[in-house]
Amino acid sequence: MSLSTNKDLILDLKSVNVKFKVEDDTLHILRDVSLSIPRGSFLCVVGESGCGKSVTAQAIVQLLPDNGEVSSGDILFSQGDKVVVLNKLEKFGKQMRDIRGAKIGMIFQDTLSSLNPAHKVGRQVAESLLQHFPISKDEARTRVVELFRKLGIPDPERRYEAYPHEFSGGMRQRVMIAIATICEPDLVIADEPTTALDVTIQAQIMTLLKDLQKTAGKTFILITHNMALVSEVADHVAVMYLGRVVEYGTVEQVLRDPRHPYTKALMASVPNLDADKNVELQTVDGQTPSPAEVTLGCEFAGRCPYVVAACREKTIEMTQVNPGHDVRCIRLDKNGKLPVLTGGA
Amino acid sequence: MQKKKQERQSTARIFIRNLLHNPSAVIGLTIISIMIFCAIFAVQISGVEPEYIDPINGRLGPSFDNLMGTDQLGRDMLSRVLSGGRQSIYVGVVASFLANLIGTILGATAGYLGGKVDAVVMRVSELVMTFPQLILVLIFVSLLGQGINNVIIVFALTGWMTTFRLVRGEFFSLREEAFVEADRAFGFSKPRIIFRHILPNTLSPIVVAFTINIAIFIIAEAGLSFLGLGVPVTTPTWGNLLTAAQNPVVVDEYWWLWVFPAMAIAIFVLGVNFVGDGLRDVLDPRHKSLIAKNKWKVALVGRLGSKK
Repeated sequence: MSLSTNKDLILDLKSVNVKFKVEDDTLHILRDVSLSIPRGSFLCVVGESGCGKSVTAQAIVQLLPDNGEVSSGDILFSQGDKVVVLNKLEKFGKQMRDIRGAKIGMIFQDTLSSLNPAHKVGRQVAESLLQHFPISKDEARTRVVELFRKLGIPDPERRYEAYPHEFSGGMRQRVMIAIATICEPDLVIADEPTTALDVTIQAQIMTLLKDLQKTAGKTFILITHNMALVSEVADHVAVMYLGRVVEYGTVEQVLRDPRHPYTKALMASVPNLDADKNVELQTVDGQTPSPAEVTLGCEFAGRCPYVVAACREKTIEMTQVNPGHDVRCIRLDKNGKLPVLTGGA
Repeated sequence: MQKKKQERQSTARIFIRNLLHNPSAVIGLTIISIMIFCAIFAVQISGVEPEYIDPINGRLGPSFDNLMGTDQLGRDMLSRVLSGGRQSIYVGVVASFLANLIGTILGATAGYLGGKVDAVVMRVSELVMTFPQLILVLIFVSLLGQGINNVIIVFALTGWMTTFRLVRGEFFSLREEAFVEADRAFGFSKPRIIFRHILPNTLSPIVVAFTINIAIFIIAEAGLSFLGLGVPVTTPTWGNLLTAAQNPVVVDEYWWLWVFPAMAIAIFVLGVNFVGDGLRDVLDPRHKSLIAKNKWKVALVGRLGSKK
């Protein structure tokens, strides 16, 4: 399935590799990340800190830090009828700038520092609009106020004139969503948009995003490490570990029936209200190794209870266990099940 | 927290209110306004043109007719000191503005782009700074010739480094801010990010540098004119009036010829420095001021309220 043959895909990552230069070392941060994202879907990318979730987002919009680059692979983006290869475009060229903001919207985690403290919020939203469309300032203002109202910002006319520090965290995130969606982009990438918010606001914001996906037909990529959130909103889930997608499937497949040992461990570590209070909460043993340490074979081998010698011998390929459900593990049997563990762990 | 706010106040209004509550800013502003007013209406206040020569009444001490006495040609010192302020203040303000403009543009560009651009501009600024400013000014003046506009150009060319370094430093920290990254993600162009988005956040230090530079340039102009290298002697400036003190006889016996211009310089510079201090207090959020106190309360309430 590839973008050039499939019109339903909006974004197609084809074995993307990202490398960072750190002093004399080269760190391999993304390893052969392949993701196909259908138009109008809601993809969640999950994984622990440092697994390359945010780097994937940065690679898509070509905003990797100066010492990082897409070393191989293609990021295909469908723009109406044509397909552009994002990583072949000039980083700060006109074409890429037109795509950023107008075609791909970004929502950031830290809302206070992501808004410019020196400008009124309304103007910041309107500016994004004026940047990409030839419309008058009054028109832009009307549309911003309209969007504010739609996003549940009370008294939008007056809030247009307010500064970011006068907003609460949830309201600021709404403003960020307004900036990301005012230009009607086809794809919205939200990088942990609710991490800095409390749970009730989190729910409101997620409902808002889900509504936007359903009513406006937008495609969402949500980067998070919150499993509860994933089960609420996602259609598809990609589980990442140390720069690799280790499991990909629909939300049912991955969350109800995880196959990869890492996903299993991740699901087991989610607190559950019905669980026996006397049983200790499970955690994933060990620590994420540094990208510099990884050598051959499965990245998870060092922490995996199912590990065998073969795991460390060569790069593990993705195998399909069910239609649309891919897992990167060699320990699965013919039915796609992990062997039953004997003994401890 | 939002409902508590009764009336939205613009930041400009808050700023002015805070400035008017700051004693040193108010004192400084008063001094400056009075002196600028006097400089503009010098002739009306003293009743005599500064160039009016009355040789018979030369070198008279202060009296009710001539509050600051007269010089060797019988020109009224009050009129000369007041109108001298016009040129001195003009030189100070315009030179400071230009120097800040150069410093800000270079600092913003170098600070945001970093790398080679930054290295080159930084080396240039270091090169200019290695020379003592006075020597540099002397070289430039001898190249460009005397004249009030030349003095301004020279000051601007030799005085931009402080602002440059200040703005560059601010940009270095601001360019890493998330909102700048967000700007990039919205597809804004580099000049737009630099000048429309980051620059407004660095205005406070620039404004303070502007006022401090005014004071520095007024003193520099006086020094230069005293040495006979600044504004041509025919135009009365505070520095040119002080030239009289080069003569030991004048220093000994005709004190009013140099004490009054010197006082004018001292008081005006003091006023400017007061304003600069006041501005710094008001604009620097870490400093105790009205706005800071309120922010503290808001921050405290916000933190307690959002504790999970």
